[in-house]
Amino acid sequence: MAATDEAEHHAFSQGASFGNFMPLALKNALFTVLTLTLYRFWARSDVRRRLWATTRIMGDPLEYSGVGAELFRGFLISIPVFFAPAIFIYYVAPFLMDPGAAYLLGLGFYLLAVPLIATAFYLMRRYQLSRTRWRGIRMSLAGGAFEYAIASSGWSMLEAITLGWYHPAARMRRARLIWENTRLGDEPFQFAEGETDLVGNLYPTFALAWFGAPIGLLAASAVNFLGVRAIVTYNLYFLPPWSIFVLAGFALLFGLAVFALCASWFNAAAMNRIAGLLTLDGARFRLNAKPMGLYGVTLAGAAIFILSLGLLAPVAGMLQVRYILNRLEMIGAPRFADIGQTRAIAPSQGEGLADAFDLDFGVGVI
Amino acid sequence: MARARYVNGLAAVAVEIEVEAQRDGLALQLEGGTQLWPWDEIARADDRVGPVVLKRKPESGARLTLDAETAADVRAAAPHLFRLRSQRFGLVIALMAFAAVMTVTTVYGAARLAEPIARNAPPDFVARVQMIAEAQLSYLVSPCPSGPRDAEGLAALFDLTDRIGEAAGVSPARYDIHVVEADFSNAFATPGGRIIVTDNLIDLLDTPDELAGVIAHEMGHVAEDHVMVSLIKNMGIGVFIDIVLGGQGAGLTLASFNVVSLRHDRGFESAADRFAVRALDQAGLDPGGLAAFFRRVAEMSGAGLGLPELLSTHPDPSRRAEALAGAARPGRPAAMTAQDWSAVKSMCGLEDPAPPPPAPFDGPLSPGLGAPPKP
Ligand SMILES: [Zn+2]
Repeated sequence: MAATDEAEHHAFSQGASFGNFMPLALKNALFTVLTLTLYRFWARSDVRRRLWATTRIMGDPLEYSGVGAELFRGFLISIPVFFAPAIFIYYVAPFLMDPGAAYLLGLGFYLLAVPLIATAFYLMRRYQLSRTRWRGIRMSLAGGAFEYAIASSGWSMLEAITLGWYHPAARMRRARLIWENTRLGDEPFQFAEGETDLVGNLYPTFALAWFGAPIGLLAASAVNFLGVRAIVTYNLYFLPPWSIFVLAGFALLFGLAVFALCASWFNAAAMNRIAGLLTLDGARFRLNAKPMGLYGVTLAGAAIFILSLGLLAPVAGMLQVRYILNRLEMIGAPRFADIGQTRAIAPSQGEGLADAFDLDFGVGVI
Repeated sequence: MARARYVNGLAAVAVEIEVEAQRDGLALQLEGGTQLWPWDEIARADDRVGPVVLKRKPESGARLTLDAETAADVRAAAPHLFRLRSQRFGLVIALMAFAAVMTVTTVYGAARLAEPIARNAPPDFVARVQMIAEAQLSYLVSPCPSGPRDAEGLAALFDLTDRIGEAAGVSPARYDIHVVEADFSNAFATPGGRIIVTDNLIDLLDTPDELAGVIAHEMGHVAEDHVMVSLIKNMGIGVFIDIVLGGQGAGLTLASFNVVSLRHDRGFESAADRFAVRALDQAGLDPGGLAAFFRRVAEMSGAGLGLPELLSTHPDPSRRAEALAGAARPGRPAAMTAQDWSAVKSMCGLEDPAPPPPAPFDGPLSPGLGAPPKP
């Protein structure tokens, strides 16, 4: 029985390193450039396989079996389904139609994109889980993508109406809907069982994140202002004209860094809470993400992303995943002997639209 | 006998078992007896960065994780399971070829289709594009400040433009000409047939023939619909990039729709040059002005006094000066009187650096009756 060995802690370990990850990331970057980015589907699959394979729980690694061709097929399907209408609406309609009508059409498409993105996210998750095994047992995501999209869009609307203040509740509700439908084999996860209060005391940290947005904007303006003043005061007119764009870009990055700092307490708290509310057949999970640690990997990832012009984005993702998984543990154990294979049918092609919306930042982290 | 970690694919439980690499397969000592996995049904399930994991086809979820010693035994019996994984060079080459074919098809297709689309574009469409172009322009250029000789300068400019248009057989309804204030020296044509000359360019021009050359060149872009064709072509290519990048190239497509920084391809530039030479010649003007202007621009950029803005939309001035070399007709009258030229050079708040001396007489003069002595 799971309840008898509650004291047992099983730490997750994520062993990706620059040694076993960088060669793959560099090869992917090269091939992606050579193929005008078409290789990105295979690159993404390889990155996932590597991240899964280096993640262990109770000594056994995760296994990812998705292949690039599936993602490529999903991309090809998304061309007529999504790109063709989008191109017509945004590039052709403004010239052919009455500007007002074209604007309304664009607005309508944009509003439609909210549930569409939510659907794509759910389908992406379903695909990834269906290609994930542990101890040979396949994971899956039950539930309907459409229902998730409707619910998620409703929460998005509440977030917009409340100027973002609904976000903590929305985040927890999305997490619940997804985790309650997530299965290891035939064993479903439970989320916040018997718990009526999803949000807990996330709001103090969220307030800091919320005010971080104007604080970041202020910081960016201050840096920009000081830079411009330095140019005027010290007569730095020998600088090329585009240096003001560099200055503005730098100011923007600084503002974002300030915002990310303000948001890191909330991010850590929200992730820790989601993990803490999760159970699998009585086994609990505990995540001990620290705001400063999370902020550190975020900054390092952003630096790698910018300096590599986005080509090494997966390395940034790897840092984040590694940080989180190495601070995750399972307390107690489910009755593994009772966890059998799922009978859920796995989707046959990859993520399609998720690629268009870049929902996983090229990393493939569920 | 060697040891391995086994999961049967039916439950999430791993057990330690004994395995033996045999001639026709791997023998697993399971609770219920020995199970043989034939070599040709075995495949790798790991990512080559940790212990070797084997699976059996068809997929049942059963896995066998080998320790180093066992892996060595298996390697000896079935080396094919330890061959280097494919580096996908074939796939990469195929994708490169695919990308290249798609790119060539798109560029070629856009070039071929853009012309008929542009030529048959309904007036509404052109008007909308012109509206967007004007909106974009308003960020980069501003109306000229008024000056005392505006009317005179404009009249001279209109007169010259009309003479060129008429000689080339372009209906006056298709074009007009504007001078604007901007931080860069350039002349360009908008989709609706408006020729726009910046004050910096006027300041840069040395002779009325150079101005005539620039106007005639832009008139060529108007007469042959180069702007619409280029815009449609760029949009087609932008949409293609957008699709290939999976929707993340949207900025590129929008950026491609930029009238001011619009680059015509070299073919359109030479076509406009040839048009200019023909039009100027038919108008009785000296087409040498255009070549002279390009030569000067080339020299200036060679001397580090670069005119990047002008070059960015009208590339390679020295080559084009060369191509136009034979076109000069020296001895033809100047494109404008000194008085008109001075008025043009004083437009848009500019100061004419070398105003002509005031005319000594007011009365009508005929050359036969003795021109006033030149100073
Ligand atoms: Zn031109």
